[in-house]
Amino acid sequence: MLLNPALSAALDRISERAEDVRRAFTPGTVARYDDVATARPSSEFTLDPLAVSAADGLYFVTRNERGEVSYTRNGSFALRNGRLVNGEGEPIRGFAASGNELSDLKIDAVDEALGRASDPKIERDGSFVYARVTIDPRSGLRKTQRVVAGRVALARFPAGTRLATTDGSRCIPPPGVQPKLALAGDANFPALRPMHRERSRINLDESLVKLNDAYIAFDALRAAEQAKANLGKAAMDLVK
Amino acid sequence: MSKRIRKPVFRPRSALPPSAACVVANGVRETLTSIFSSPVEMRVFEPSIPAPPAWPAIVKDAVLYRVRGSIADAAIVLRSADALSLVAALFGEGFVHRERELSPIEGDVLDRTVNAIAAHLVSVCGTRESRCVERIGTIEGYSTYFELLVEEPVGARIGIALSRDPSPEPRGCIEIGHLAAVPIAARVTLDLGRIPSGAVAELRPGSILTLRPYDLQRCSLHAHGRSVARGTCGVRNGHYALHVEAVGATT
Repeated sequence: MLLNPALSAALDRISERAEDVRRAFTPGTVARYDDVATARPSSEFTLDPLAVSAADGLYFVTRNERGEVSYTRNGSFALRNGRLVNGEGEPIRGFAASGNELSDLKIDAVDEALGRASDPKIERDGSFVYARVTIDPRSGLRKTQRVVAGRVALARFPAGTRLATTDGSRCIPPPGVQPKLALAGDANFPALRPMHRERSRINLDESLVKLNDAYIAFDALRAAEQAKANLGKAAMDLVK
Repeated sequence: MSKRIRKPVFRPRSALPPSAACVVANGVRETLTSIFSSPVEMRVFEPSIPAPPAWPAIVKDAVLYRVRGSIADAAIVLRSADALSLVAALFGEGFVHRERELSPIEGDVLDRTVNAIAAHLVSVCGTRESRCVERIGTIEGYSTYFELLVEEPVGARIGIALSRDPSPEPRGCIEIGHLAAVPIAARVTLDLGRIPSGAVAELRPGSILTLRPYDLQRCSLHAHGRSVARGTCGVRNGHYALHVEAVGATT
Protein backbone atom coordinates (compact mmCIF):
# COMPACT_ATOMS: atom_id res chain seq x y z
CA MET A 1 0.00 0.00 0.00
CA LEU A 2 1.36 3.43 -0.89
CA LEU A 3 1.60 5.77 2.06
CA ASN A 4 0.13 9.19 1.76
CA PRO A 5 1.58 12.12 3.74
CA ALA A 6 -1.02 11.79 6.51
CA LEU A 7 -0.19 8.13 7.10
CA SER A 8 3.51 8.86 6.93
CA ALA A 9 3.10 11.61 9.54
CA ALA A 10 1.11 9.24 11.74
CA LEU A 11 3.91 6.68 11.54
CA ASP A 12 6.43 9.35 12.45
CA ARG A 13 4.35 10.22 15.51
CA ILE A 14 4.36 6.55 16.54
CA SER A 15 8.11 6.46 16.15
CA GLU A 16 8.54 9.65 18.19
CA ARG A 17 6.19 8.47 20.92
CA ALA A 18 8.01 5.13 21.05
CA GLU A 19 11.27 7.02 21.41
CA ASP A 20 9.86 8.90 24.38
CA VAL A 21 8.92 5.57 25.97
CA ARG A 22 12.46 4.27 25.44
CA ARG A 23 13.95 7.45 26.87
CA ALA A 24 11.91 6.97 30.02
CA PHE A 25 14.42 4.30 31.05
CA THR A 26 17.52 6.48 30.62
CA PRO A 27 18.50 8.68 33.57
CA GLY A 28 18.19 12.40 33.07
CA THR A 29 16.66 12.30 29.63
CA VAL A 30 14.06 14.82 28.47
CA ALA A 31 10.96 14.09 26.45
CA ARG A 32 10.44 15.05 22.83
CA TYR A 33 6.84 16.02 23.67
CA ASP A 34 6.16 18.17 26.69
CA ASP A 35 2.83 16.45 27.35
CA VAL A 36 4.67 13.43 28.79
CA ALA A 37 7.30 15.39 30.72
CA THR A 38 7.36 15.35 34.52
CA ALA A 39 6.91 18.58 36.38
CA ARG A 40 10.29 18.55 38.11
CA PRO A 41 13.38 16.33 38.25
CA SER A 42 13.67 13.56 40.79
CA SER A 43 16.42 11.17 41.70
CA GLU A 44 16.82 7.85 43.47
CA PHE A 45 19.54 6.51 45.74
CA THR A 46 22.10 4.20 44.22
CA LEU A 47 25.19 2.45 45.55
CA ASP A 48 27.21 3.69 42.60
CA PRO A 49 29.70 6.28 43.96
CA LEU A 50 30.15 7.70 40.47
CA ALA A 51 26.45 8.49 40.09
CA VAL A 52 25.44 12.02 40.91
CA SER A 53 22.46 14.23 40.29
CA ALA A 54 22.39 17.97 39.79
CA ALA A 55 19.79 20.54 40.79
CA ASP A 56 17.12 21.55 38.30
CA GLY A 57 18.43 23.63 35.42
CA LEU A 58 22.05 22.50 35.75
CA TYR A 59 23.81 20.37 33.16
CA PHE A 60 27.02 18.38 33.06
CA VAL A 61 29.40 19.22 30.22
CA THR A 62 30.65 16.57 27.85
CA ARG A 63 32.16 16.35 24.38
CA ASN A 64 32.27 13.78 21.63
CA GLU A 65 35.31 12.46 19.77
CA ARG A 66 35.07 15.37 17.33
CA GLY A 67 35.34 17.81 20.21
CA GLU A 68 31.74 18.98 19.91
CA VAL A 69 30.48 20.05 23.32
CA SER A 70 27.07 18.97 24.54
CA TYR A 71 25.26 19.12 27.87
CA THR A 72 23.53 16.38 29.78
CA ARG A 73 21.63 15.84 32.98
CA ASN A 74 22.57 12.17 33.06
CA GLY A 75 24.98 11.95 35.98
CA SER A 76 25.50 8.19 35.78
CA PHE A 77 29.22 8.33 35.18
CA ALA A 78 31.78 5.59 34.86
CA LEU A 79 35.54 5.26 34.79
CA ARG A 80 37.07 4.12 31.52
CA ASN A 81 40.87 3.98 31.16
CA GLY A 82 41.15 6.40 34.05
CA ARG A 83 38.78 8.89 32.40
CA LEU A 84 35.43 9.96 33.82
CA VAL A 85 32.87 9.29 31.11
CA ASN A 86 29.11 9.35 30.71
CA GLY A 87 26.93 6.43 29.66
CA GLU A 88 27.90 6.90 26.02
CA GLY A 89 31.61 6.78 26.87
CA GLU A 90 32.12 10.49 26.25
CA PRO A 91 34.45 12.34 28.64
CA ILE A 92 33.00 14.52 31.34
CA ARG A 93 34.48 17.98 31.44
CA GLY A 94 35.61 19.79 34.52
CA PHE A 95 38.43 21.72 36.08
CA ALA A 96 41.52 19.64 36.81
CA ALA A 97 43.16 20.06 40.19
CA SER A 98 46.29 21.42 38.51
CA GLY A 99 44.61 23.83 36.12
CA ASN A 100 41.91 26.42 35.67
CA GLU A 101 40.84 25.48 32.17
CA LEU A 102 37.98 23.20 31.23
CA SER A 103 39.36 19.76 30.46
CA ASP A 104 38.49 16.07 30.57
CA LEU A 105 38.48 14.76 34.11
CA LYS A 106 40.86 11.85 34.56
CA ILE A 107 42.94 10.04 37.11
CA ASP A 108 46.68 10.71 37.10
CA ALA A 109 48.13 8.71 34.21
CA VAL A 110 50.80 6.97 36.29
CA ASP A 111 48.39 6.14 39.10
CA GLU A 112 46.06 4.65 36.52
CA ALA A 113 48.82 2.76 34.70
CA LEU A 114 50.11 1.24 37.93
CA GLY A 115 46.66 0.41 39.29
CA ARG A 116 47.13 2.59 42.36
CA ALA A 117 43.83 4.41 42.15
CA SER A 118 40.94 2.90 44.06
CA ASP A 119 37.49 3.90 45.29
CA PRO A 120 36.77 6.65 42.78
CA LYS A 121 33.78 8.79 43.68
CA ILE A 122 32.18 12.16 43.18
CA GLU A 123 31.50 14.36 46.18
CA ARG A 124 28.92 17.05 46.91
CA ASP A 125 31.09 19.86 45.59
CA GLY A 126 31.69 17.95 42.36
CA SER A 127 35.17 16.79 43.36
CA PHE A 128 36.20 13.71 41.45
CA VAL A 129 38.35 11.91 44.00
CA TYR A 130 40.09 8.58 44.38
CA ALA A 131 42.25 6.90 46.98
CA ARG A 132 45.82 5.65 46.82
CA VAL A 133 48.13 4.12 49.40
CA THR A 134 51.46 5.71 50.29
CA ILE A 135 54.13 4.88 52.83
CA ASP A 136 55.70 7.23 55.33
CA PRO A 137 59.43 6.60 54.80
CA ARG A 138 60.27 7.46 58.41
CA SER A 139 57.83 5.16 60.14
CA GLY A 140 57.06 2.72 57.35
CA LEU A 141 53.35 3.17 58.05
CA ARG A 142 50.91 3.00 55.17
CA LYS A 143 48.30 5.68 54.73
CA THR A 144 45.44 6.02 52.30
CA GLN A 145 45.52 9.37 50.58
CA ARG A 146 42.51 11.15 49.15
CA VAL A 147 43.43 12.55 45.77
CA VAL A 148 41.29 15.16 44.03
CA ALA A 149 41.62 14.69 40.27
CA GLY A 150 39.39 17.68 39.55
CA ARG A 151 35.90 19.08 39.88
CA VAL A 152 32.98 18.42 37.62
CA ALA A 153 31.85 21.53 35.72
CA LEU A 154 28.19 22.53 35.71
CA ALA A 155 26.43 24.60 33.10
CA ARG A 156 23.38 26.81 33.53
CA PHE A 157 21.59 28.38 30.56
CA PRO A 158 19.66 31.64 30.52
CA ALA A 159 16.07 31.22 31.62
CA GLY A 160 13.76 30.10 28.84
CA THR A 161 16.50 28.56 26.72
CA ARG A 162 15.13 25.65 24.74
CA LEU A 163 17.86 23.01 24.27
CA ALA A 164 17.81 20.78 21.23
CA THR A 165 18.40 17.08 21.66
CA THR A 166 18.60 14.10 19.37
CA ASP A 167 18.64 11.32 21.91
CA GLY A 168 17.05 13.02 24.90
CA SER A 169 20.28 12.88 26.88
CA ARG A 170 22.77 15.10 25.06
CA CYS A 171 21.47 18.63 24.69
CA ILE A 172 22.76 21.47 22.54
CA PRO A 173 21.84 25.14 23.06
CA PRO A 174 20.58 27.33 20.22
CA PRO A 175 23.30 29.16 18.29
CA GLY A 176 24.65 32.13 20.15
CA VAL A 177 23.56 30.98 23.58
CA GLN A 178 26.43 30.37 25.95
CA PRO A 179 25.93 28.74 29.35
CA LYS A 180 27.38 30.00 32.57
CA LEU A 181 29.95 27.51 33.83
CA ALA A 182 30.65 27.05 37.51
CA LEU A 183 31.31 24.45 40.16
CA ALA A 184 28.84 22.88 42.52
CA GLY A 185 28.59 24.92 45.68
CA ASP A 186 30.06 28.02 44.01
CA ALA A 187 28.32 31.12 42.68
CA ASN A 188 24.76 30.13 43.51
CA PHE A 189 25.22 26.68 42.01
CA PRO A 190 23.71 24.17 44.47
CA ALA A 191 25.70 21.17 45.64
CA LEU A 192 25.37 17.85 43.86
CA ARG A 193 23.67 14.79 45.32
CA PRO A 194 26.26 12.01 45.36
CA MET A 195 25.13 8.40 44.97
CA HIS A 196 21.89 9.55 43.40
CA ARG A 197 20.74 8.79 39.90
CA GLU A 198 18.34 11.18 38.29
CA ARG A 199 15.23 9.61 36.92
CA SER A 200 14.10 10.31 33.41
CA ARG A 201 12.02 13.47 32.99
CA ILE A 202 9.43 11.38 31.17
CA ASN A 203 6.26 10.03 32.73
CA LEU A 204 6.31 6.41 31.58
CA ASP A 205 2.57 5.80 32.03
CA GLU A 206 1.65 8.95 30.16
CA SER A 207 4.12 8.21 27.37
CA LEU A 208 2.61 4.71 26.94
CA VAL A 209 -0.86 6.22 26.73
CA LYS A 210 0.33 8.68 24.12
CA LEU A 211 2.00 5.87 22.18
CA ASN A 212 -1.26 3.95 22.22
CA ASP A 213 -3.09 7.08 21.03
CA ALA A 214 -0.63 7.38 18.17
CA TYR A 215 -1.30 3.78 17.15
CA ILE A 216 -5.07 4.36 17.33
CA ALA A 217 -4.73 7.50 15.22
CA PHE A 218 -2.70 5.59 12.68
CA ASP A 219 -5.27 2.76 12.57
CA ALA A 220 -8.08 5.28 12.11
CA LEU A 221 -6.25 7.02 9.29
CA ARG A 222 -5.46 3.71 7.64
CA ALA A 223 -9.12 2.65 7.92
CA ALA A 224 -10.20 5.97 6.43
CA GLU A 225 -7.74 5.56 3.60
CA GLN A 226 -8.98 2.04 3.01
CA ALA A 227 -12.60 3.21 2.98
CA LYS A 228 -11.67 5.99 0.61
CA ALA A 229 -9.97 3.52 -1.70
CA ASN A 230 -12.95 1.16 -1.57
CA LEU A 231 -15.33 4.01 -2.33
CA GLY A 232 -13.29 5.01 -5.36
CA LYS A 233 -13.19 1.43 -6.58
CA ALA A 234 -16.99 1.07 -6.18
CA ALA A 235 -17.55 4.33 -8.07
CA MET A 236 -15.33 3.12 -10.90
CA ASP A 237 -17.21 -0.19 -11.04
CA LEU A 238 -20.55 1.71 -11.32
CA VAL A 239 -19.21 3.92 -14.05
CA LYS A 240 -18.04 0.88 -16.02
CA MET B 1 27.13 -2.21 43.10
CA SER B 2 29.73 -4.19 41.19
CA LYS B 3 31.89 -1.10 41.12
CA ARG B 4 32.37 -1.28 44.87
CA ILE B 5 33.94 -4.70 44.82
CA ARG B 6 37.17 -5.16 42.98
CA LYS B 7 37.72 -8.36 41.10
CA PRO B 8 40.40 -10.62 42.52
CA VAL B 9 43.37 -10.65 40.19
CA PHE B 10 46.93 -11.93 40.28
CA ARG B 11 49.47 -9.17 39.95
CA PRO B 12 53.25 -9.39 39.73
CA ARG B 13 54.76 -8.04 42.91
CA SER B 14 58.18 -6.50 43.27
CA ALA B 15 60.66 -8.28 45.50
CA LEU B 16 62.23 -4.92 46.31
CA PRO B 17 61.25 -4.34 49.94
CA PRO B 18 59.41 -1.09 50.70
CA SER B 19 62.04 -0.46 53.36
CA ALA B 20 64.68 -0.12 50.63
CA ALA B 21 62.51 2.50 48.92
CA CYS B 22 62.09 4.22 52.30
CA VAL B 23 65.88 4.36 52.70
CA VAL B 24 66.12 6.09 49.33
CA ALA B 25 63.27 8.44 50.25
CA ASN B 26 64.83 9.44 53.54
CA GLY B 27 68.13 10.21 51.85
CA VAL B 28 66.46 12.20 49.10
CA ARG B 29 64.40 14.07 51.66
CA GLU B 30 67.53 15.13 53.55
CA THR B 31 69.20 16.22 50.34
CA LEU B 32 66.20 18.22 49.19
CA THR B 33 65.86 19.75 52.65
CA SER B 34 69.40 21.08 52.39
CA ILE B 35 68.85 22.30 48.82
CA PHE B 36 65.50 23.97 49.51
CA SER B 37 66.62 25.21 52.93
CA SER B 38 63.22 24.24 54.24
CA PRO B 39 61.70 21.05 55.63
CA VAL B 40 60.60 18.56 53.01
CA GLU B 41 57.62 16.26 53.49
CA MET B 42 57.83 13.11 51.48
CA ARG B 43 55.98 9.85 51.05
CA VAL B 44 56.72 6.72 49.04
CA PHE B 45 54.69 4.61 46.68
CA GLU B 46 55.32 0.92 47.11
CA PRO B 47 57.67 -0.65 44.51
CA SER B 48 55.78 -2.39 41.74
CA ILE B 49 56.35 -4.27 38.51
CA PRO B 50 54.58 -2.18 35.87
CA ALA B 51 52.99 -4.06 33.02
CA PRO B 52 54.60 -3.32 29.63
CA PRO B 53 51.73 -1.01 28.56
CA ALA B 54 52.26 1.07 31.72
CA TRP B 55 55.80 2.17 30.87
CA PRO B 56 54.79 4.62 28.12
CA ALA B 57 52.50 6.36 30.62
CA ILE B 58 55.31 6.48 33.18
CA VAL B 59 57.91 8.03 30.87
CA LYS B 60 55.56 10.24 28.84
CA ASP B 61 56.93 13.80 28.71
CA ALA B 62 59.48 12.88 31.36
CA VAL B 63 63.09 13.89 31.83
CA LEU B 64 65.09 10.71 32.31
CA TYR B 65 68.44 10.13 33.99
CA ARG B 66 70.34 6.86 34.17
CA VAL B 67 72.40 5.92 37.22
CA ARG B 68 74.64 2.90 36.78
CA GLY B 69 75.06 0.65 39.78
CA SER B 70 76.88 -2.58 40.56
CA ILE B 71 73.68 -4.61 40.98
CA ALA B 72 71.35 -2.84 38.58
CA ASP B 73 70.90 0.34 36.66
CA ALA B 74 68.48 2.90 38.01
CA ALA B 75 66.62 5.57 36.12
CA ILE B 76 65.28 8.74 37.67
CA VAL B 77 62.02 9.71 35.99
CA LEU B 78 60.88 13.30 36.34
CA ARG B 79 57.73 14.26 34.51
CA SER B 80 58.09 17.66 32.92
CA ALA B 81 55.54 19.25 35.25
CA ASP B 82 57.32 17.80 38.28
CA ALA B 83 60.72 18.90 36.97
CA LEU B 84 59.37 22.43 36.51
CA SER B 85 57.88 22.42 39.99
CA LEU B 86 61.14 21.29 41.58
CA VAL B 87 63.23 23.83 39.71
CA ALA B 88 60.74 26.61 40.41
CA ALA B 89 60.89 25.81 44.09
CA LEU B 90 64.68 25.91 43.96
CA PHE B 91 64.49 29.39 42.47
CA GLY B 92 61.92 30.38 45.05
CA GLU B 93 59.17 30.85 42.49
CA GLY B 94 55.62 30.23 43.60
CA PHE B 95 53.65 30.04 40.37
CA VAL B 96 54.68 27.43 37.84
CA HIS B 97 53.54 27.40 34.25
CA ARG B 98 53.45 23.65 33.78
CA GLU B 99 53.28 23.61 29.99
CA ARG B 100 56.61 25.20 29.10
CA GLU B 101 60.02 23.60 28.67
CA LEU B 102 62.99 23.99 30.98
CA SER B 103 65.36 26.82 30.17
CA PRO B 104 69.08 25.90 29.85
CA ILE B 105 69.77 27.30 33.30
CA GLU B 106 66.86 25.41 34.78
CA GLY B 107 68.04 22.27 33.01
CA ASP B 108 71.48 22.63 34.52
CA VAL B 109 70.02 23.16 37.99
CA LEU B 110 67.86 20.10 37.53
CA ASP B 111 70.89 18.03 36.45
CA ARG B 112 72.74 19.04 39.59
CA THR B 113 69.73 18.28 41.78
CA VAL B 114 69.32 14.85 40.22
CA ASN B 115 73.03 14.22 40.66
CA ALA B 116 72.63 14.91 44.37
CA ILE B 117 69.56 12.69 44.56
CA ALA B 118 71.29 9.85 42.72
CA ALA B 119 73.75 9.43 45.58
CA HIS B 120 70.97 7.80 47.60
CA LEU B 121 70.21 5.05 45.12
CA VAL B 122 72.99 2.85 46.48
CA SER B 123 70.55 0.78 48.51
CA VAL B 124 68.61 -0.25 45.41
CA CYS B 125 71.20 -0.44 42.64
CA GLY B 126 74.54 -0.99 44.40
CA THR B 127 77.66 1.08 44.53
CA ARG B 128 80.12 2.05 41.86
CA GLU B 129 83.45 3.73 42.31
CA SER B 130 82.52 6.52 39.97
CA ARG B 131 78.91 7.61 40.18
CA CYS B 132 77.71 8.21 36.66
CA VAL B 133 74.45 10.09 36.10
CA GLU B 134 73.53 10.77 32.51
CA ARG B 135 70.47 12.18 30.86
CA ILE B 136 68.89 9.68 28.48
CA GLY B 137 66.09 9.81 25.97
CA THR B 138 64.28 6.62 26.80
CA ILE B 139 64.42 3.62 29.09
CA GLU B 140 63.96 0.06 27.95
CA GLY B 141 64.06 -3.23 29.74
CA TYR B 142 63.44 -1.79 33.17
CA SER B 143 61.35 -3.89 35.52
CA THR B 144 60.75 -2.23 38.87
CA TYR B 145 59.31 1.18 39.59
CA PHE B 146 58.56 3.23 42.65
CA GLU B 147 57.92 6.89 43.27
CA LEU B 148 58.83 9.45 45.88
CA LEU B 149 56.00 11.87 46.47
CA VAL B 150 57.25 15.30 47.55
CA GLU B 151 54.42 17.04 49.39
CA GLU B 152 56.14 20.07 50.91
CA PRO B 153 57.39 22.68 50.09
CA VAL B 154 56.38 21.76 46.55
CA GLY B 155 54.21 19.06 45.07
CA ALA B 156 56.18 16.79 42.77
CA ARG B 157 56.94 13.17 42.13
CA ILE B 158 60.34 11.60 41.58
CA GLY B 159 60.15 8.23 39.89
CA ILE B 160 62.83 5.57 40.30
CA ALA B 161 63.00 2.71 37.80
CA LEU B 162 65.31 -0.27 38.25
CA SER B 163 66.65 -2.46 35.47
CA ARG B 164 66.15 -5.61 37.50
CA ASP B 165 64.02 -6.70 40.38
CA PRO B 166 65.87 -8.32 43.29
CA SER B 167 65.70 -12.08 43.27
CA PRO B 168 63.47 -13.27 46.10
CA GLU B 169 65.37 -15.22 48.74
CA PRO B 170 64.16 -18.81 49.17
CA ARG B 171 62.66 -19.17 52.59
CA GLY B 172 61.15 -22.26 54.18
CA CYS B 173 57.78 -21.12 55.25
CA ILE B 174 56.65 -24.48 56.72
CA GLU B 175 58.86 -26.41 59.12
CA ILE B 176 58.53 -30.15 59.62
CA GLY B 177 57.18 -29.50 63.11
CA HIS B 178 54.11 -27.81 61.60
CA LEU B 179 53.15 -31.15 60.05
CA ALA B 180 53.32 -33.12 63.31
CA ALA B 181 49.59 -32.97 63.95
CA VAL B 182 48.58 -34.15 60.48
CA PRO B 183 46.86 -37.58 60.84
CA ILE B 184 48.12 -40.29 58.51
CA ALA B 185 46.92 -43.87 57.95
CA ALA B 186 49.26 -46.43 59.58
CA ARG B 187 49.23 -50.21 59.40
CA VAL B 188 51.22 -52.87 61.28
CA THR B 189 51.69 -56.19 59.47
CA LEU B 190 52.91 -59.49 60.75
CA ASP B 191 55.00 -61.73 58.51
CA LEU B 192 54.04 -65.33 59.29
CA GLY B 193 56.53 -66.82 56.90
CA ARG B 194 55.35 -70.19 55.61
CA ILE B 195 52.29 -72.02 56.94
CA PRO B 196 50.70 -75.21 55.66
CA SER B 197 48.20 -74.63 52.85
CA GLY B 198 45.78 -76.91 54.63
CA ALA B 199 45.70 -74.58 57.59
CA VAL B 200 44.72 -71.72 55.26
CA ALA B 201 42.09 -73.89 53.53
CA GLU B 202 40.49 -74.82 56.85
CA LEU B 203 40.11 -71.22 57.98
CA ARG B 204 36.54 -70.46 58.98
CA PRO B 205 34.96 -67.73 61.06
CA GLY B 206 35.89 -68.61 64.61
CA SER B 207 39.07 -70.47 63.64
CA ILE B 208 42.22 -69.74 65.63
CA LEU B 209 45.59 -69.57 63.89
CA THR B 210 48.35 -70.11 66.38
CA LEU B 211 51.34 -67.76 66.09
CA ARG B 212 54.83 -68.84 66.95
CA PRO B 213 56.78 -66.50 69.28
CA TYR B 214 59.39 -65.64 66.67
CA ASP B 215 56.59 -64.63 64.22
CA LEU B 216 55.94 -61.64 66.45
CA GLN B 217 59.48 -60.46 65.82
CA ARG B 218 58.72 -59.84 62.14
CA CYS B 219 56.29 -56.95 62.47
CA SER B 220 56.43 -53.97 60.07
CA LEU B 221 54.86 -50.53 60.38
CA HIS B 222 53.58 -49.06 57.08
CA ALA B 223 52.21 -45.58 56.42
CA HIS B 224 50.63 -44.72 53.09
CA GLY B 225 52.38 -47.65 51.40
CA ARG B 226 55.82 -46.83 52.76
CA SER B 227 57.57 -49.08 55.25
CA VAL B 228 58.40 -46.89 58.19
CA ALA B 229 59.77 -49.21 60.88
CA ARG B 230 60.34 -52.82 61.79
CA GLY B 231 60.22 -54.50 65.19
CA THR B 232 58.53 -56.95 67.56
CA CYS B 233 54.83 -56.94 68.37
CA GLY B 234 53.65 -57.76 71.83
CA VAL B 235 51.94 -56.45 74.94
CA ARG B 236 53.45 -53.72 77.11
CA ASN B 237 51.78 -52.39 80.24
CA GLY B 238 48.48 -53.84 79.19
CA HIS B 239 48.57 -52.33 75.65
CA TYR B 240 49.33 -53.99 72.38
CA ALA B 241 52.61 -52.45 71.23
CA LEU B 242 55.33 -52.48 68.63
CA HIS B 243 58.90 -52.44 69.87
CA VAL B 244 60.76 -50.64 67.07
CA GLU B 245 64.09 -52.25 66.21
CA ALA B 246 64.84 -50.56 62.89
CA VAL B 247 63.57 -47.35 61.29
CA GLY B 248 63.29 -46.73 57.59
CA ALA B 249 62.61 -48.87 54.56
CA THR B 250 62.74 -52.58 55.38
CA THR B 251 62.64 -55.54 53.11
